Amino acid sequence: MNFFRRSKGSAGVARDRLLTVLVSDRVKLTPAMIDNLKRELSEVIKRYLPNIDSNMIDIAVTQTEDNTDQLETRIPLGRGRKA
Amino acid sequence: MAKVITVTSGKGGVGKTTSTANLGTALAMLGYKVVVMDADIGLRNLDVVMGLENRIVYDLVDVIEGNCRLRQALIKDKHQSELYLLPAAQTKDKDAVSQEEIIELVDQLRDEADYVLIDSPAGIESGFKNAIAGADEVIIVTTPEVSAVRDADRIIGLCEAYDKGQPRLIVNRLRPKMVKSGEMMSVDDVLQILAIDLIGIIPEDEDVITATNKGEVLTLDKSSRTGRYYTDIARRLAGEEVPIEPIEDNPTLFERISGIFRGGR
Ligand SMILES: Nc1ncnc2c1ncn2[C@@H]1O[C@H](COP(=O)(O)OP(=O)(O)O)[C@@H](O)[C@H]1O
Ligand SMILES: [Mg+2]
Repeated sequence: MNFFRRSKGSAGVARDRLLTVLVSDRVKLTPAMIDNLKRELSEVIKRYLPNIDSNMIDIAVTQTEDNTDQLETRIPLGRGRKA
Repeated sequence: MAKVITVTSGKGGVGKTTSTANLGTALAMLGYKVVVMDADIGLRNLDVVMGLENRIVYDLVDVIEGNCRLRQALIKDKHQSELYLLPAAQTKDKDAVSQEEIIELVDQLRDEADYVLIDSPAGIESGFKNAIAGADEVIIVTTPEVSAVRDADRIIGLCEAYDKGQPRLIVNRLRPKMVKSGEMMSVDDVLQILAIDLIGIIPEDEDVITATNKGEVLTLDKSSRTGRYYTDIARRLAGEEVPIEPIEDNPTLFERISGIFRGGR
């Protein structure tokens, strides 16, 4: 199950927007706080992996098998082995 | 002793009242005794959807205030002898009743039927809280749209907070063609996001609108495909194992013919 599938079509856009808005709804962070979280995350990671683009970081609240919420992040490392 | 099921959504206009009327009718057609209760005080709707608006004498607030007995306020359906409507008050304010009074009323209704379906108002305020207060089970209706699913997510959280267990989901107004072309979220997309169990899928169907115009409930029409989907949901509510099949558009003539050549059905 891949939560971060970026599909074309407006349905994919709808799905991605929902995942984003539900992060703020469920964990009660404002979208601005989530942006901050992403930026700070990327700063930490950049110290080790310099090619990270904070715009590419995804954060979503998903459910585990036993139905508890979890924060799931995806941090794409880009092409090649530059880092 | 009746099982009490509240139909709710968060967002307005997604199909709560339509679902309540159709599921009430379907359960009655399956032979159960059913009371459908309109908990949308001040915005009464279930009566017109069922075509019973001219028969109302007393309403739910009259029962609570002691102006009449419960049985006097129950309106018998036009078609199903075992289906009754308890209408909401139209002129009163939604704060005319308290949660305790609603719970007491619902407990009285338990002796009158096998199933009590409660049509909830939109929102997450007192009207919604009253509507789920007496429920044994909650059904959430959503459409495959961002705002409706977002509100459904909120309601799921509230159901857990009020110890109503895991609600089950109806995805309403699905357009299979749009899903296929990637322009509408699929049922799987919605389920993945909300992480609750599905109880049924209802397609977008113009017949819902024409039936509602006439004050006839679509499920009464035994030739209606959508009506059969409501009946399947009613069966699942009653505990039957009825598999949920994905909804396809009715095949076009061309698709049917080419299906024959491919050796399909
Ligand atoms: N499956 C459907 N196909 C077409 N129209 C529908 C469907 N479900 C509901 N509608 C229409 O959508 C509108 C809102 O439905 P309603 O049941 O009143 O929503 P709610 O009670 O949640 O506010 C109504 O006009 C109804 O006829
Ligand atoms: Mg309604």
